[in-house]
Amino acid sequence: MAVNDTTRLGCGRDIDDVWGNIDHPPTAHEQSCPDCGPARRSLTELAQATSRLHTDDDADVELQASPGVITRILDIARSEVRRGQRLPLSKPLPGQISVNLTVSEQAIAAVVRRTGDATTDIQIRRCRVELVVDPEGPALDPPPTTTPPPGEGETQAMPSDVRLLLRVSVDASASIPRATEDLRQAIINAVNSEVGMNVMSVDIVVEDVHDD
Amino acid sequence: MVSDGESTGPRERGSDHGVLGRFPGGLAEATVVGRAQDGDLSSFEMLVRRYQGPVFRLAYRMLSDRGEAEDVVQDTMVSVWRKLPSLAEPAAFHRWIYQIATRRCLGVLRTRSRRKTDAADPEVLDTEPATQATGDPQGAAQYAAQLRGLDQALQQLPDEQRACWILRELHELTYPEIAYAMNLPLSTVRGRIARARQNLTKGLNAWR
Repeated sequence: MAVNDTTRLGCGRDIDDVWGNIDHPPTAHEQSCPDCGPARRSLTELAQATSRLHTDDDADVELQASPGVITRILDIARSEVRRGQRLPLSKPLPGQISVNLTVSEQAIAAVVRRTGDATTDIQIRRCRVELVVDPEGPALDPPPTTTPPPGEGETQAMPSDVRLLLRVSVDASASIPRATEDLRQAIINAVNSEVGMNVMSVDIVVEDVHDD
Repeated sequence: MVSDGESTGPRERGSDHGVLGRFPGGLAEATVVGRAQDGDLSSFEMLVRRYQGPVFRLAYRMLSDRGEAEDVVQDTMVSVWRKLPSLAEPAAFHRWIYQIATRRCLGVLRTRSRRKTDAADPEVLDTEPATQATGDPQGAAQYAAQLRGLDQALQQLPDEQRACWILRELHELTYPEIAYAMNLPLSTVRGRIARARQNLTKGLNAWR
């Protein structure tokens, strides 16, 4: 066969035009054209062979990476894990500069996502956690007299204040104000009870809608 | 509407491809991508398990070597993990991962041709189609021959034609998605695919 530089057939039609019609009966032109006729037949056979290859490949269990490869991928990812910042669980006590017990942003985000997953209307995609620092400064100089000295119990550290920023997708049939408000409440409760932090605000950005 | 989280549902708005269906828990792909972007390993693992098969099949049909196909899967997934924070649109993940994988495959092929060595003993899988127990040995033999013919003709195609054709016909990417994955203009993608079809029909005819 001669080498052609073009995908145009002798009659002037392009192979793409013939391809576009192979699932339908031949046009009047195609029925009589000596170029389109054979092209239709060849392309129909190609379509059939392709469909079979597609089906076979998708069903072939050999055509995937071995488990060892998956493990290696996840090991590498784990070693490069981005845990985000660490946040103090509680506010410093009077005289304290830093707090020993911290929790990662990732851990808090996981609690938040789990709460969201328990709802049917909202899928949480991104979750950022920001520490809200008391603008009056940490209680290095405790207010005089009004605070009773630590008695026989321990000094109760105050839970840290945090602000959450969420990016979510909402179910198309849900009421956005209601769904976000319900979620907000659920998250405030969950973070309070599971992490022990005080959620001051939950900013929710609805960036997408999904169908369920 | 089935409630099984693993089943395929209708094509969703935006991100998901109906072919691949929902993720565990009924999560949309963009949700899982967003969480992986935040560094959530279990979400990343869901993406790996979802896409390792398609990426392997793409690489295997491009490279005809199992070992190299596995390397492409590993390199692609690690690349995804590292570059995820830079992906501005979670909904673009599908074409984005195909872009990474396709580039990797084309890179391997370029290195191969520079080295000029024949893939002497590539680890070729026995991808003989399962002969259907229909009691039609002649039909089964023809089926097998047709697929072998297509496989051979596919391997003869120039790399870019093969890539465009595989992305379209075996992975159902749209023409704009292919243009993105290959970093080619749309019209060039159309031309490559048309040329691939022309060459493949010639190749199939030769096998008669």
